[in-house]
Order: sequence, then C-alpha cells, then structure tokens
Amino acid sequence: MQQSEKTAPRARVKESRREKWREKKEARRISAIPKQQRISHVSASDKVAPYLLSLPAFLIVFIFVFLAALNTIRLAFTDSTMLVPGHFIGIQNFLDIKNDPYFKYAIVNSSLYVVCVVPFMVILPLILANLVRGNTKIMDFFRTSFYMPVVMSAVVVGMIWTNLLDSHGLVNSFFLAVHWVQKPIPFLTDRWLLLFSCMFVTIWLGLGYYMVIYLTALANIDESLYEAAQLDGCNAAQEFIHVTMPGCRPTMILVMMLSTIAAFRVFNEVYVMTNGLGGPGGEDMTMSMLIQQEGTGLQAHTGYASALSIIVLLIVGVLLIIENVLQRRLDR
Amino acid sequence: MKSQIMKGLGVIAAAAMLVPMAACGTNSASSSNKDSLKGTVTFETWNLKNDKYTPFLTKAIKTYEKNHPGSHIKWLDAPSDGYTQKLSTEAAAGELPDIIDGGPAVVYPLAKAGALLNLSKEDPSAKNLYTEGAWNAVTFHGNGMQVGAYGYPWYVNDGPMYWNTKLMKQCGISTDKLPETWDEYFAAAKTMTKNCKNVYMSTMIGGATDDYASAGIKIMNPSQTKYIFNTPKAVKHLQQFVDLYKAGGIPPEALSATWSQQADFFQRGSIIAMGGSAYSAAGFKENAPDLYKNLAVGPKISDEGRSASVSYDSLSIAKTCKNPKLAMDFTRFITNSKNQLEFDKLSSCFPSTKGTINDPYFKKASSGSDLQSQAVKITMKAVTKGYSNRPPMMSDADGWNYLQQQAALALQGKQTAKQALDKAVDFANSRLR
Repeated sequence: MQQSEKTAPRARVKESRREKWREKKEARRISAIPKQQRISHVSASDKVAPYLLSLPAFLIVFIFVFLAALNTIRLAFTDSTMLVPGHFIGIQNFLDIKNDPYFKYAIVNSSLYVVCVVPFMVILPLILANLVRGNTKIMDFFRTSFYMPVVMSAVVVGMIWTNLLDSHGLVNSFFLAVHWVQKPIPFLTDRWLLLFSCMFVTIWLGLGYYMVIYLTALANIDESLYEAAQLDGCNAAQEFIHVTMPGCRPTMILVMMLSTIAAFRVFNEVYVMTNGLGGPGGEDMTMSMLIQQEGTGLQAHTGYASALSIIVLLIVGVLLIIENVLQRRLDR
Repeated sequence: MKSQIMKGLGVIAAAAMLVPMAACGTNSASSSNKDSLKGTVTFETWNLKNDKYTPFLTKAIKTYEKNHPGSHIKWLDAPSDGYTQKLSTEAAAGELPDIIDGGPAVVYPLAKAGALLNLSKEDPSAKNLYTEGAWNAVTFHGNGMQVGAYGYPWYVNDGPMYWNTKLMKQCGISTDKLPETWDEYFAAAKTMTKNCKNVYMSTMIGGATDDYASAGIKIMNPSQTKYIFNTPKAVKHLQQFVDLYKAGGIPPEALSATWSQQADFFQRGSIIAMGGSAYSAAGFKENAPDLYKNLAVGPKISDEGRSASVSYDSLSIAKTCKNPKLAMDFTRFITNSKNQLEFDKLSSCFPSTKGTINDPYFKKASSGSDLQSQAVKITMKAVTKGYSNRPPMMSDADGWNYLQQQAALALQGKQTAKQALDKAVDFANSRLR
C-alpha cells in the first residue's frame, strides 16, 4: 500500500512530461506547414458555424435580458405609467425615492435580510450536508426530507407558517398550553417578529437547496484528508473546521453570493406571510415588494418602479463586489 | 317666361330625382346597420371558462350568432391571476380584446388612457336599461377624461352583516336589535370590551373607503378630481377604531388581514361580526354548524340607511375594436335582463338591469324565514338602493393597500388618525394625476 502510494506521484510526473513533449511535437509539426496551407484546411463554414450555433441563445439573451435592462434604465428617467408612455424627467424618480417612507422600510428590511439570513444559509446547509452524506437508505430519506420544502410552492409554505405562527396557531397554542407565555406572541403582527419569522421561513426553505450544492462539493473532498485528520487525532468538529470547510470554500463563496442576491431580493415569503401588505402599516415591506407594488397593476408607476429596480441592481452589484474582494483577500 | 317655365320644370325634375335617391339613402343606411352587425369581435371574460359558466356563455353566444348571421363572437377567458397585468400589456400594445370584462377598477385606468369607447356618446340610450347605481359606477369624470360611461353594467354584488348572537349575549350586547349605524356599532363594541376578553368586534379597522363612505363621509369631490376623506369627521371616525383597538376590541391580525382570514376568525368564534355575501350562510352551515345555529343577519353598518359597498362588474368596448356596433350590440345582448337573470342564478350575483330584481326567482329566494333567505332579502335591498363608494382609482390594489397600511399605523399608535388620513389622501391624489 505504502509502496504504491510512493510510486504514484512519479508516474504522474512522467505522464505530464510525456504530455508536454507531445504538445511541443504537435506545435513543431504545425509550424512546419506553410501558412497558406494551414489556413486552407479551415473552411468558411467552419468559421461561421460557432456564431450561427450561438445565435439563438444570443438573441434570447439580447432581447429578454439586455434590451429589457436597457428599457428599465430608460424608463427610470421618465414619468411613464403602465398605460401612458410618459416624458423624460431626469433624475426626479431617484429624488422621489428619498422621500418615500416605504423605501426606508424596504431598504432596512432587505439589508437586514442579507445580514441575518446569509450567514445561516452558508453554514447550516453545509452542516446538514455533512450529516446526511453517505449512501445508506436512511440518509436518502433525510436528504429527500430536507429537500422537500424546495419543491413546495412558496404560497403553500407561507400558508403553512402563517397558520403555525398566528395568534391561534399551533406554536402559540403550545406556548400558552405549557404556560410559557401569558398571551400569544405576535409573530405575525409585530414589525420585527414578523420580519424574523419571514427570515426563519426563508432559511427553512433554502436549506435543502444549498445542501444539495454542498453535497456535490463534499463528494469532491479527498477522503485521504479525513483519514489524515483522524490519524492526527481530530474529532468530528475539528474535522469539519479543518477539512470540510476549507475543502468547500469555493462552494461556500458561491452559496454566499447566491444567498446574498436571493436575500436582498426576497419576495415570496414576505408577500404571503403579510398578505401582500408588507405587514401592519407596510413596515415589513422589502425592496422586491415595493417594486411589485409600484410596478404592477393598471395604474402602475413603471418609471418609478424602474428607478427602484436600478437601486436594487446597484446595491446587489456592490455587495457582490465586496464579497469578491473579501474572497481574494482570504485567498492570499 | 319660357326660360322661367323651363327652370321650374328643371327644379321639379331635380326634386323628383332626389326623392328616390333619398329613399335609396334610407335603404342603404339600414343595410349598413345590418352589415355593421357582421364580422368578428373578441369577447374576453375573467375566470368564467369552467363547468359552471361555459355552458351558459356558449349557448348565449350561439343564440346571438344564429340571430345575427355573419356575426362571429370569439370568446376568450383569462385566469384571474395577472388579469390586470395582461390587460395593461395588451392596452400598451394597442391589442386589447374588443369586449373587456372588468370592474370599475379595471375600466377606469383603461378609460383614462383613452383605450375605451365612451358609451354615453356611442350608445346613449343604454343608460335607460340599467339601474342608476350601476350606470353611475361605470361613469367617470375629471382629470383630462371625457365624462361618460365606459362600460355596460353586468352583474352586481353586495352582502349583509353576519352576527354571532352567542358571543353577543356572552359579552352583554343586546341581540334584540342588531347594530346598524356606526354609533350603535361602537357602543356595542364598548360593551363587549368591558365584558369579554379575547373576543373582538370585527376585523374592520377604518382601512377601507367603505368604512368612511358608510359614515356619510365623502371620498371624492363631485367632479372626481380630488380626494377629500381627511375631514375632521373622518378623523373622528378613524379615532373610534383607534380607541377600539387600544381597548382590545380589534384583533392585531386585522391590521393586515384578508377576507379569508376574517372568515376564519368568525368561524372559530373570535369575532362577533363580519360582512359576507348573500350566500355565505350555506358555507357557515357546512363549515361551522355550531356557529350557524347562533347566527343573525343584518344590513351592513351604515349611517346613510343604504349600502355604500355595492360592487359592479361591467363589459367595456375597446377603442381599437373594428366592429364597434357588433361589439355594443352583443354586449347589450349578454347584459340584457334575460341573460343577466340566467347568469345570476349560476353565480349567486344580482342583476344590474332595471326591474330584473323583481323577477319571481329573487322573490322566491328571499321569501323564506331561514338565514339565507334573510341574507338575500337584505342584499336585494342593498343592491337596489345602495351604491359603490369605491372610487375606481382608489380600488386599485395600491390605493387600497395604502389606506389600510396608514390606518394600521394609526391603530398601533405610530401616527395620529389625522396624519394617517392626510397621507392616504395625498397618496390617492398623487395617483389621480
């Protein structure tokens, strides 16, 4: 066993030398061919084919992403509504945002969502994935169970949790029955409790999705690293910190980015749990809900909603840049 | 002299020639009327293509096409989810269906954008076919809009107030006379908060225009150019809800409750009263039989002696319609007394055509002594005498939500009742422009 482990690196070195030698030989062969001959065996259709093949995808992206984005930028500088094209009004929409009380709620709530939800989304699914890895039937069952909320409709999820958390729901009934509280906890009627309840549902929903991503990453960690850690006397927690986490680092960065975007743009859970009103007084409104409120319906203020969309785009862009910079610093 | 005779003969000859020409003109006009009822129009309804309504609408369309050879009605149906979004996209692209189904909240923005025919101009006699309340509900004014009716009224709905008499007795409220005015309502609520804990009056929070209009507060000025529901009377009215909330008479969930949640609260015996439809009784009988035994029904709370919350559906004609005469004729047909009656039987709604409510069907439905018959009787009175207070621009989801959100903040003590109403009025006025 030890002998074969020692010889393996030598074989790999030999193989890579052979590969380099082959590449050099091929390069010499091609350079020996006169230039004209070299070009002549690549036909015109070969040159055009890649462009033609990528054209449908390019058109779809161009029309439904770039044109739509450009149109949003254009609309942001107009007073257009859904039915009236409107006029150019400069940066008036952006100035109006400053005085919009709902924008203040929305920006605070969406930012809090990122701060509170993202750390859980990065760590908890990794722990979960670590617990359910393996090919036994019971692990299959747990993986499926944890993934179940992902395939459930957000509306159904919202309704389940609304019924669980309302003043006569299961959670409050239990707390009252065991005399832990004297009156129902206002999970769905207090501004902050409602927001944290929504965050809890978002985490519950996202666990399974990110768990699957982590399972793939875990499968790529070399088992010998765990064996080495065990030989060094690491316990399970130390293995997780010193082997699993570093091994999944690129995936953790990916999950962090994905969950940051999702958290800042959260809509479904908050919409359903607040009956579309953004909580009592609209104080639990998020950025996506505000855009939806302003930008849909027959009397929609599409210009204003577009300006809000640009703000969201800029904030998410800045967050991603910060995360990217942090990642590079950590890599060093 | 000879030339004068010749001139006279010439005039007579010319006149003689003109007579048949005039007759030709009349003939050609009538034939063009018939011709104008030929062709195809698209008729888009809202969530009506299903087992319940499809047979009726298919039959009605076939009958019309049979009576008007050469006409073709293409019936389309859109799901309720995203219906307004669909219409707005179609309107923006100039591709609206010829006949559009929708309530005043859908009709108003389309009319304001100049996408609909003004029926007061195009079909003035239609006004005589429908009840005054129904015609008023589709008639819009103000803000650069041509005054007129922009839809043929179709089905109408409203409902009574259901009361849990068991809870009323438990909380010391007399069941001999159910509260009908706001003073009676708040007096009963005060009695309730003194005698009961964890029982609430209703989920009404002063977050809907109905709550104000029914207290005699004007929502808009007569020319529909400005919202005015922030008067001292309105502030006092909202303050009564604030006081009731502080006294524990309104559930916290009501601050952002939906209609279905209101029904849940009522069915599990947490609230004393709720507004429902004329046919809600059957649902209570099935879902909450114990509650049903203790139910009483009364008119909706109003200081005006009539309902301010009647809701109307209508059919409008798009300006882009290529066969407007056919579209108008068909819409008159589908909303005529006979067809409305048949539709109302299926949909548990009420008619908007004059006199149809006196049909034996409605008389029979309201003649019993059971809860549902009483509810139908009250609703019949409501739809006949009542009106829609909901300004179409306000009943758009945003305006509606905004008022509820501001009222909720006032109830929580985060702002005064006056601040809430001032903000709601400012917001609504900004939407009018």
